[in-house]
Amino acid sequence: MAPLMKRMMRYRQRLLYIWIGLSFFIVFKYWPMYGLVIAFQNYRPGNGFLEGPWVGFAHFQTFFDNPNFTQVFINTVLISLYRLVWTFFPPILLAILLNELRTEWYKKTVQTLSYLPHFLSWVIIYGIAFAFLSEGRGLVNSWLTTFGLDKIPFLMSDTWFRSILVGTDMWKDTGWGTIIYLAAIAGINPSLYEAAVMDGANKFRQIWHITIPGIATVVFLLFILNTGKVLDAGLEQILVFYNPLVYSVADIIDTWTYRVGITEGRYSLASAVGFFKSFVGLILVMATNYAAKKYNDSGIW
Amino acid sequence: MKHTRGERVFYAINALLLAIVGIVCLFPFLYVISVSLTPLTEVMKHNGFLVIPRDVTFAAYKQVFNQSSIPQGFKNTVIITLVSVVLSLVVTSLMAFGLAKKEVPGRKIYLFLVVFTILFHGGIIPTFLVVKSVGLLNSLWALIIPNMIVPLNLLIMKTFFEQIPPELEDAAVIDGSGEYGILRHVVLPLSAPVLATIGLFYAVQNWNIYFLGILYISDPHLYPLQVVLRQLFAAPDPTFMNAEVAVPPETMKMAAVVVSTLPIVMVYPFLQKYFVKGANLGAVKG
Amino acid sequence: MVKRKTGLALVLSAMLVITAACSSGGNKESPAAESSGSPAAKATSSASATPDGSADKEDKLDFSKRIAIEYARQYQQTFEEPPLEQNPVKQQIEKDLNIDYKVSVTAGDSDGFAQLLTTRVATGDMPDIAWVRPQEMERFAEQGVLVPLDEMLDKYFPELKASRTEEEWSLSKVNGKIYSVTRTQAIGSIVANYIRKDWLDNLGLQVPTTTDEYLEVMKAFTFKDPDNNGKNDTIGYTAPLINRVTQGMFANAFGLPQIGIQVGGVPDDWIDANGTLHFGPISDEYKQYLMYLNELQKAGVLDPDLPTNTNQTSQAKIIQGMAGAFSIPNPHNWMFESNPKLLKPILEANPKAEWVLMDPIKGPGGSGHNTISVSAPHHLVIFNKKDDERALRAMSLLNYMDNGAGKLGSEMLNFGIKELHTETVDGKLVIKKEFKDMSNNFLKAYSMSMIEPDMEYQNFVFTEKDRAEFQQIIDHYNSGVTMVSQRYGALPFVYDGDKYVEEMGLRFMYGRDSFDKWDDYVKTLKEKYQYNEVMEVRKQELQKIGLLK
Repeated sequence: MAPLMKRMMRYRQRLLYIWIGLSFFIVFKYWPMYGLVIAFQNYRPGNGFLEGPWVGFAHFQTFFDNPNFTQVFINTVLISLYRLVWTFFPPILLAILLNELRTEWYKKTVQTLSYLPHFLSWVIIYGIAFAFLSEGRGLVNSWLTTFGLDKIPFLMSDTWFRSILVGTDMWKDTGWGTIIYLAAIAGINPSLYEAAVMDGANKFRQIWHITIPGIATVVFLLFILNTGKVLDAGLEQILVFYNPLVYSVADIIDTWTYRVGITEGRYSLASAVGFFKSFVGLILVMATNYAAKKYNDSGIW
Repeated sequence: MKHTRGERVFYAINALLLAIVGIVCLFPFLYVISVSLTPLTEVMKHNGFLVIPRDVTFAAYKQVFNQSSIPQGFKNTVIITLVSVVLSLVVTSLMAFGLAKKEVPGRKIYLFLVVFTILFHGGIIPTFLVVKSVGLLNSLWALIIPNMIVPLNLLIMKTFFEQIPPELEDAAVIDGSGEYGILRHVVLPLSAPVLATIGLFYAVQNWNIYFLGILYISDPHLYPLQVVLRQLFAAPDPTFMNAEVAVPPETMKMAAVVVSTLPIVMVYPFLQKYFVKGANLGAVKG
Repeated sequence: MVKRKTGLALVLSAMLVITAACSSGGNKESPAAESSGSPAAKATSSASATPDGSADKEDKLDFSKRIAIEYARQYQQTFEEPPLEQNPVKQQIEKDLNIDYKVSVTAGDSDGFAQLLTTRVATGDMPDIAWVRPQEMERFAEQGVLVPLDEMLDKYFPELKASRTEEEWSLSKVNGKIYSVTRTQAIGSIVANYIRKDWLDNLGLQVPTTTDEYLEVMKAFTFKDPDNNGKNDTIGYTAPLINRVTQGMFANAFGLPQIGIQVGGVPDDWIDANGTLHFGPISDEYKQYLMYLNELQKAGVLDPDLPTNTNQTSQAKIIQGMAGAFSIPNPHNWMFESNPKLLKPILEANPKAEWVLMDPIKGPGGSGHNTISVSAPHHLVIFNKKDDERALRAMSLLNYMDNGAGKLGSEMLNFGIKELHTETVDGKLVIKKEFKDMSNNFLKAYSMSMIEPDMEYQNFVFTEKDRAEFQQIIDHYNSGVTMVSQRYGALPFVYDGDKYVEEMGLRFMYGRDSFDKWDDYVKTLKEKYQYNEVMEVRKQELQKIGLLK
């Protein structure tokens, strides 16, 4: 007890700072969490949250039992994994490369350009994708025919669709993702590089032994948090991009919930699905955090 | 400095590669800008897709700025963004600083509580009720306070703070500095990059507020920019595709996009000077 | 889902087009008759001091107390209300009804507005009147937050009550009580089909009248260079989506009365003249329709981007002269001289392009555009604030704005205030330009329930050509079947079969599944997706409301 009290005294200011922020969390994040209970009720808006008929896990059962469950679950996981690979690592690589540019104005320009697509909505990105990939007048298909090849219905094909989803996502957000890594690289002590050069390390070894370890903690942090989102898979983009011909590969948990949950006012069902996703996310985050701690002592907590 | 031949090749390829990246990323914006500057029929003639403006006309922009609710929307959004960034940076850095020391008692619990809120949410209605109970409804504060701390930003800051060499902190302690002193004289000066980054993140988040603007605000004079723009220029819900609705042409929609994103896009180049490698590390040697 | 909503929306918007004439139950009286074809152009309405109509009944209403009424709606248009001093229409409304009138307009999409409204209801901060979709009306009614209107209608607003038939009121009923006044589609969706006449002329062809002829013409459009530019850059038919109400012409040609009204991409159920209930998704007519589309698709005459098109891309193709045929809902908003929102850019891009209205093609199952006899995609509801007088006053506002009853309100929105907004030009009464600008800016947001189309207004703005075309379109509307899809409530279990139907519809059409698999499709729908139970529930629902024996 005594050492604990001593530490609390010693760090009382830090504790104060923590509590300033924590009170915000308590009021605006934890207080509303009573709303989670509607996942276990048959909720009707207008009722109090603690009244409604309790149905236990019925909605979860409905979700698991529905005929499309396996399909949407697999689609969700697959698309998320593709996204994870293709949108998590490229920004790191790009940040490193950007960092190696020698000319300041060039670096600044490319950096700014690279994050522009982040600000465009998916509707606009779809418009561009359509202009390129559509079968009728799409540029890519025009090129294909010029070379005597067959047209490819990219947006309607179950082989290509997921790649298009992930590809446009890469295009949109890789540049934006570099910002955080560039900030991390800016914090690396330059004398480390000087020392390495004197030891005869070439560019690649410098990157491998200095740059990468220098950003490792940030990488781990973002990776751990990303695993929590594995059941999300990008609802907004998919709603804009998909069509019935690709439902079999693009229908995810969230689009299913949107259809039968939200548009039909089944708030409890939607809430139950959300609860399930959050729960799985939490388990994954905790597991990844544990692994990161063991491996590198770089867990979040 | 002398570069080896291998290094020069690397630099050349790198520069080329990144030029391609730059062009590929610029490209969608060129499209948006071109459509906004070209008369509608010209646009339609090219399949609705242009990369270079033809018959440049500012008609679309004139129409956008003709709407009297836009300057007010702009003003609201600027206020929200500025206040939010300042407030959020202060509160987030304080809390991040607090959490950045392993010895702080209860740290793990606090961190877990933060991470938990990333994954679990109470829902729109409960949050609305809370915002209402606190008396923030129908004011700009409703858009500033409830999202004042973004857990991700908090954790990022904490991670950065943790990387400051402990010797520096110890030195400050020896000099008689309290925790606040450490924060002010050691941590913050060395954290320009992360503060700039998180400041940018908060700025973008607040600049783009849309749905919360509709939810929490009923006085049209308080509507943020994105709400105003969508009200005027978004693609109409086809349920209303009757005589009442004038379909805003593509050109106007694009002009609205440019008007709403250009200001925030321009913020980052100004922040880049905080990202210069090693500029802050003089303190180590000093 | 956006696409699906677009489809549903297209349908719903199509239904926004009014007009009298056909309905399944034979000729209707009243609103239909009143709004159909009466060409008398009423250029003005002088707002009187008290709402006219059943004056003696409404004397019972007490307007002495000033009440603040709030109307909440979503509106996708510039909504910049001028201050009260500069808003004579609002002044008139407030004066006539003795209210402080607040119109709360929300930008954005219907889902966003629905969420906002639900939140307001959940927190007890409801408006007085709101514009909602059928699903919201039902939900709110079931939760008990709406005021039932039956008594008020009978006692105080008999004209409003009489303005709609029993069948039309049935759309507003939940558990036997009326909870809304609708924007009633007196005739249902109006869709027109257009074809490139100059292409036909170039190729020496006639406007096709049968499904076979249509196929041949589409082939010619695609492969015979109809625009004589030496390039192989044209196709036959384009649309922003497929299997929506806009494809009604094709559906009818095979005896399928309608597709995509209730849910985009899903054929609707109907009760035929003999009283037999048919389920669209498993009907033979639907199969025939799909087989025809498959033929069109195989022949290469369809815009390859059909499932991925947006309104913009599809319209761009029309404007550019890439497509030779299309169908469009609410043609009077797009292709008529009085409101050429699409026609104008077409002619700007190519003054020689000549699009003509074509009659629906004939097929083995008939021809025409069947449609829902009565439909209402939009409902105006009054929220229950436990204050009877407030409810009455809100209702009086509704009545005032409705063109079936009070009329003063809706007329003002169209024509303004006589003294201020009209003038005589060459002996004719004409609306002043400043009013037209104003009315397009914000006044339209004031509109509430009505019977659509607002024929008085339309006839006022239609040219001769428009009138003729409008009539031509309506002449081909069939009656004789009752479309049932809008009579259904929510299913008591979670049903995801619509997605399967939509998906399979396209797969069959695009040849990804051969029609040999049709029976498998039906079986899967019935068993895996529980369509058997759906059919049972729906049959019972129809029997309960008396549509089915």
